[in-house]
Amino acid sequence: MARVVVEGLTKRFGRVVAVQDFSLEVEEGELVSLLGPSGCGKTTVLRCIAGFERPDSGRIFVDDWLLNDVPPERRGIGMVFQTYALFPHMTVAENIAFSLMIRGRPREEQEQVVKEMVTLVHLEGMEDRYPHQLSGGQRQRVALARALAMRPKVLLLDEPLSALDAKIREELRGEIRRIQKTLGITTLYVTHDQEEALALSDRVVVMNMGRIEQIGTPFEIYNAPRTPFVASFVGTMNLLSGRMDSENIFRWKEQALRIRPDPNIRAGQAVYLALRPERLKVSLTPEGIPPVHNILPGQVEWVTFLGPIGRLSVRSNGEILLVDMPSDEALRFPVGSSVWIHFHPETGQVISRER
Amino acid sequence: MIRWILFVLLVLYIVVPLLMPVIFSFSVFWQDILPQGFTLRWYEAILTRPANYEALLVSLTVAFGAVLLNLVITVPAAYALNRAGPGWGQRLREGAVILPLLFPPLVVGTALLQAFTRPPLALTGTIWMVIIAHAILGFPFMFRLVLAAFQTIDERTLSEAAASLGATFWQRMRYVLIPNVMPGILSGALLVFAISMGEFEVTSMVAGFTAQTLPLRLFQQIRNDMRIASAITAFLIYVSFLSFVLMTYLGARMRRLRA
Amino acid sequence: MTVTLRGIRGNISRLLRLLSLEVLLLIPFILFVGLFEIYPILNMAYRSLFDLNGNFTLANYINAFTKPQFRFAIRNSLLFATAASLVGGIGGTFVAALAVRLPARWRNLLLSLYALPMTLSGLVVAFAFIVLLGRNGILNLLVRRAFSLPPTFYFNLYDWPGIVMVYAFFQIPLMTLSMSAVFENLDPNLIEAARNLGARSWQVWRYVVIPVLLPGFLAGMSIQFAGMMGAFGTVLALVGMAKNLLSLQIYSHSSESTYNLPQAGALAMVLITITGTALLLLSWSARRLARRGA
Repeated sequence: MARVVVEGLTKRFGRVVAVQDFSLEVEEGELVSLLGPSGCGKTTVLRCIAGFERPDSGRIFVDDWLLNDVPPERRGIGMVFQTYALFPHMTVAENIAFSLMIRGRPREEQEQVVKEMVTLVHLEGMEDRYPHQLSGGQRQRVALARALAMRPKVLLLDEPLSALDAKIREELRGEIRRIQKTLGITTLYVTHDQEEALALSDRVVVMNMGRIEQIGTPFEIYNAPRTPFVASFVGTMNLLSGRMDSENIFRWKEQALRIRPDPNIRAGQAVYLALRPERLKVSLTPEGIPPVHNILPGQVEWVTFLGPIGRLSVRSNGEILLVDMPSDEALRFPVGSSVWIHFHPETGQVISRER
Repeated sequence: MIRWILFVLLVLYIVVPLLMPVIFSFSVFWQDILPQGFTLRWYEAILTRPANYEALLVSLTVAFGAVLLNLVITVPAAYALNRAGPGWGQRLREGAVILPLLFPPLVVGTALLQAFTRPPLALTGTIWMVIIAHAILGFPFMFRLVLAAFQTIDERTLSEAAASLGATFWQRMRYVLIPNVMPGILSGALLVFAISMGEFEVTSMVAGFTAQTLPLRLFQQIRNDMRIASAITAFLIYVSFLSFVLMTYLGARMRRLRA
Repeated sequence: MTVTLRGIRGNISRLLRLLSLEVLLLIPFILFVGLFEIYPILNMAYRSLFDLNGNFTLANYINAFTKPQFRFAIRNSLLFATAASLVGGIGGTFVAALAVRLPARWRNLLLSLYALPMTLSGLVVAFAFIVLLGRNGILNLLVRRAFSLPPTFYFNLYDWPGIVMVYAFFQIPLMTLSMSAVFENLDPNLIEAARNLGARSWQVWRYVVIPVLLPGFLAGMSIQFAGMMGAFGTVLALVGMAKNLLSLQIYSHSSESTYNLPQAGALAMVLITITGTALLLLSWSARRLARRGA
């Protein structure tokens, strides 16, 4: 297996800068997601690694092999496309055997590999079907098998699940992770779906407007976002815009809130306080709130039922804060009632507003 | 109900006029409302009279020539222009559609007639000129079909998929692209063939006396012998009809694979 | 020395990158169109500025607008092309509107059938209509017998209405093909949305359907008009040179007894100018409509 190193990758299309100064190291056997909204440059990074786009500057290595001038067909990097890109005139077996066929491998070896791959992606009995006779999920399994059949050093997946239904998406997501772990193949996974990225990655790279916003484990990305963009893009987040009075006091309008000091944040700095809805608590009375908690008074404006959880929209200090809790609890708060939002100072993350 | 009556009438609108020469060509004579007798004599005349038979051969040569020439021109051009971006690529794609509107066959004929009268390209009046003229007339039709084929199969992504699996340019062409655009190429070739077989206007301008095609022969026969004219006309209808049956079949095949 | 050599090599590699595979693949196309379409037409335009003895003159163009023979030809061509395009345009739109309302199987059958005339020779169609509607054509005979009319009564295929009718056999199917694509692109949700917002059926047509269809209709009309300006094969087969059309004048000046190539060239340039202006006008109004619709 292989390491992938990208150094200072920049790519422009005409005057539009698609990717700017992108650097990343993917370890052997690691699955790294590139996460961001459409047009953030994540697909362009993938296409540069695959060799379909030529970087304007920067270098791409697999192990110590500089790939910049290697044509895509000689890179030995597997790719799975959003639109499947199966060869419509070939059967499942022929699609999977394609890379061996063009390398002139003997028939027995081709058959052997097809058998192995079909078992790996659970498509037994479908070998002689044509792509148009398969469902979307099955087609993507074939595409995955086809890419893996050539034993690639690196696997690239470009939004492989976004054309599929929610149910199949979740199922196939687990499959991809299982296969990737089994084979221990170094993988880059592009997606705009944050849940998908968090669920299957070893590390996530959040991108916005051609730049990296943050690299981290799913846990870090979710719990310790370092930029306002990451905070608002990944999951639901309350962002309070204010200023640091001192190193552990955050001033939000008239309210002074105690928070965990952050070594990177100075007093007087303009910051956001990022609070996850599920980390906030609400009570109807101020009694019984632990004294160490910060307290924000407010009024329930709306209650949203989301199945397992319920979400209160509480107006406090003129802004709406979202609070999540088990839905049976949420239904106990009537619209219009006065409530107290409270949270521990360790909750929440301070993010600089200066860039 | 009205819809189906209209449907039948619209089908008859195309079918009835085209049946006339066909019935005529199998009749001993047709002076009154109903034709008299059944004969294959007039078809025989196409094959037995040297002037007719030669015209048939010239027509077939020209049609195959125009198809071959168009294969060489359209397939690479459609591949390249399908890849070309929205800027000059789009302009060229549109140009290929506008050109035949702006320069109708008549103008192309007049212009070709004057351009190649002297060496090194003294083509006017030769069969080469006819082949070239027919290729020009057929080009926009074939180009559109082949370009559409490249577009429908999403050539770029298929090529990238094949490249990522290790296929070189020629392998991508040989194993992935050509098999998938083949129905489009064949449809285009059939269309060019059918257009060429029936072309009369430009041919009559540039052919001179050396390259008399079947339609030129037909033009004379309409004035001389309606019965032989009917056989030639019917034959040309069969050519068009067969081409379209095949094209419809190819179109259905393409749709099936795309689904 | 080495510096310039490296400079040259740099230029060559830059040139090669510019001459990417895609450009190389376009070479046959560019050569072909350039040599056999663009060059001949430029050559014709150039030669139209000389008389038969090779002296520079504008006479060919002055003739085109002053000689009655040519003035009538231009006028007739404009009238004929407009009439035939309108017949084809309206007829084809009607057929396409019916076709999209048919079940897919029958629609495809109808559209395949209507693609047929595209490749048919003008002579084939002329012949077919002579048998059907000529002086002693089947239909004329039938009508005369049925109503015991004298042999002087017949539909005259050999006058303008007859010629337009024969050309309609090409033009209606051509328009059917362009309009059926336009109709299929008309999103039924648009109509439903308009209905849902309370539009009456005439309002749906006036404010939704027609604005969406009109650009495609105008594009189809450009094809009709351009085609009809240059048409002459079927007329030639029906009436020879008895009718005066610009296209027939060009034909006869390039291939028949009145042989005068520079004059034919000048007339062809007039034809290109008329067609080009019509195309520009139609595409300009189509684009304006499309922008307003967007």
